Order: sequence, then C-alpha cells, then structure tokens
Amino acid sequence: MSFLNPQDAETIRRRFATELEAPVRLLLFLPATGGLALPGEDWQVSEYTRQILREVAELSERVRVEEYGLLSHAGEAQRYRVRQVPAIVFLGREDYGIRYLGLPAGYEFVTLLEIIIAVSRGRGEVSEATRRVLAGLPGDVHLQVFVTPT
Amino acid sequence: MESPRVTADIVEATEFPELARRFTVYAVPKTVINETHEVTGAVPEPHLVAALAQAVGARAPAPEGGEE
Repeated sequence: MSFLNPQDAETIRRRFATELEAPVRLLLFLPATGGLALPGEDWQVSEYTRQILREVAELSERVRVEEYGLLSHAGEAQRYRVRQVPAIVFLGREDYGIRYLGLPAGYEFVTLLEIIIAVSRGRGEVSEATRRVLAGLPGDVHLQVFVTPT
Repeated sequence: MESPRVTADIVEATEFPELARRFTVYAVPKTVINETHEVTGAVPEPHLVAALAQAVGARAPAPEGGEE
C-alpha cells in the first residue's frame, strides 16, 4: 500500500522539479538493519518512516535515501549526531545540522518536504534581520523543536 | 542553514516520550534552546530569534512589527 496517493505524488514531483537545486541525501538511521529489532524498539514507526522516504525519493532523481543501522553503523551515527531512531539526516551541498526524529507523517510530512527543498537550495526563508543575528552569534545553538503529527 | 553555529532537531514528541518528559512538553510546537531556554507555540520569527540570542548571551534584537 502506498503512503502517497497519485495526485499528491504528482504535486510533489512537480514541486521538486522546479524547486530542487543540489542533490539531497536523506540518511535514515534505523534500529537495526535486516529487520532485526531489539526489545522495546518500535520497528513499525521505523518501517513507516522508511516507506515514506522511499516514496518521496522516487519523485526526484535529486533525492536519495541511504539506510543505516544505529548499531551496525555506529561510526556514521556518531559522526551525524544520531543517538535515537528513527532519525533522518538531511545532507545538501553540506550538512546544515538538521535532523528529524520520528515519523514525518500528518502535518509533519509538509515539514519533511520543506526541509528537503531548503537543504537542496542551501538557504532558508528567514528575514534579513534574522540573518544578521544568526551571522553574529557568539556561541553554538542547538534547537529541539517538539512537534506532533496532528 | 544561515549559520554553522546553529543545529536543529525536529522531534516527534509522541515517539520520543522520554525527551518530551525531560523538557516538559505539554503543547506543541515547543522549541528548546541549548536545553536551557524554551519557547512554546508557533511564535513570530523575531521572538524565536530573540530567545535564541538570549540563550547564547548575545544582545537580543529589537522585535520587528511590535508584537510584544
């Protein structure tokens, strides 16, 4: 069963065709590779996340999904600051430090698309005033934005 | 994306209840900054930027649009 209906898929395909610039790699970190889940892990959430990303990646040659196991690829997990799964790392021309933890469904599916497009273009949509503040930050800032799909 | 100093995790709160509990997330969106400062709700961009600047000891910019 598909997550995206044909109309939505076509809309996204057109949007990607006009708005994507640089290729985007979506690094999907899963509990384990090969379908083996450890006790307490919600494998179903990871499986849905995998399905969503695969369907989205089919809509543009510029979007690619790579799957990693949190334990079997511990080096990559550490490099990309991934400690919990499922986690998506978005890489464009560079790593802009954006991660999504959990299933990007419901309203958050739009968030997923917006991040892919922004990372591909290498710029967000903030005001000049915001740009100035961010350019002059004296220290590192880590944001955790809590959301729900509804 | 506008600064290499800024990183961001979007966290689906129901799937990561321990994180949500740790930062007492009762309503979304809630933005936690450096685990010490927080902003609840979909606030205007200047407000979020002011909170962010405050968290790292930068001088907060004057909010634009006067939405105080």
